Amino acid sequence: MSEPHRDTTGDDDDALRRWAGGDERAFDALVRAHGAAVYAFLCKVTRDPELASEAYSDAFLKVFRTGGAEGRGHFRPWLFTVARRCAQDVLRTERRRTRTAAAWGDEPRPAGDEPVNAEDNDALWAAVQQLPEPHRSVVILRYRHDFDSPEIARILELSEKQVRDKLVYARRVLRKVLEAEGAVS
Amino acid sequence: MTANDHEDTELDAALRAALSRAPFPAPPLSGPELRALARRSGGDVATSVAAPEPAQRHRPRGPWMVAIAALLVGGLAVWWSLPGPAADGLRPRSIAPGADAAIRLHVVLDGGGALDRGGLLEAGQAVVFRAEAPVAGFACLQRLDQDGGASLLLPPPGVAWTVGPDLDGFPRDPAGRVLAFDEDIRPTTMSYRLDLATDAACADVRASDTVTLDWSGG
Repeated sequence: MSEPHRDTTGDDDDALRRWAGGDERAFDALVRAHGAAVYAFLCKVTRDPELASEAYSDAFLKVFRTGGAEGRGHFRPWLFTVARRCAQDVLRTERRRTRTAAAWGDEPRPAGDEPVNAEDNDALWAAVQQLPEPHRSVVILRYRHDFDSPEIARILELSEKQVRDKLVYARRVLRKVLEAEGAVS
Repeated sequence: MTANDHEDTELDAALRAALSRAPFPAPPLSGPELRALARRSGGDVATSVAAPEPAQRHRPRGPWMVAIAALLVGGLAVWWSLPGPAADGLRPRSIAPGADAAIRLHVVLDGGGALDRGGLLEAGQAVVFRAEAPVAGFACLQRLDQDGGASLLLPPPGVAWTVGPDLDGFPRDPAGRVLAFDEDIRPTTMSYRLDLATDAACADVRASDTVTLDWSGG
């Protein structure tokens, strides 16, 4: 699952056509093809596997309920757009829940840990996690999920220029980390 | 990609190697589990994408079905002739992909009266967002966060927007196209954006409008 992303547009469109024809296993194929990547992205966006799971379910339920037809021709970026919106919704609900709990004097829910990956022990990953949003999402979508700038702009609802500017800023920060590590000259 | 995207190939390579090294974590639910969840939560959606059953297609239609159809057509004709939310001459228009749609949000105080965009409100005062014209499409109302993010206030329920629980009973237009808060309003300045999209997930936005409201001086 960690191989470089390959273009799945043809496979996705084929699955969407089969699904529109009533073959529900085609939906399963789409989940198999993209579920892990979407969940990984949501873990990074929410920084909490529980919230990521909630956003993951919401996103795929939305896809299921709309039949996925809107994503034809660009299913993968469309799916990530839906997922990002669900993550924001879940985060907002969680913020409100935390405020209410604090007002009643309850202990806030302890922040969950991300799934333990080798990546999280890496200094570069740690630096990526320290980036402000949406710079962090731009970097993750670019280098972890192999989206190009127009696709990232669509997913994050930014202009392509904004995406490029945020990449330039993020690269400047991350280069310093890599230089300190001696990984680049 | 642009030339700018390639300006630091050494760093790009290092980042790609580092960030794509670890496998993705296992997702929490599989396709069949998600489908089962959708059904449990009332999402009988597969029927909207599945082909109709042959038995349904060839079911004989009796005279009573013709009568119901005639009533429906008559009702629609009467509704269409009534001066409703489109009394300003605007009619529902669909947002086709690529269409140059435009909308404008109006902010209406709970209890009546309009509000300037960027207007000052009393703390706790509720407002209703109303689109300038009824638009056939899908809608998402979002609160724009200080950090540039956006939070969905209401799920995109399609054309028939619902009134939030705090404003239950608030008058709405015949098509139900009224958006209302479903959250407590704290004394602060907030911006809200209404997106109109071609898809129910509001991923393909064709038109937007934003208003900023200020509760801080109330």
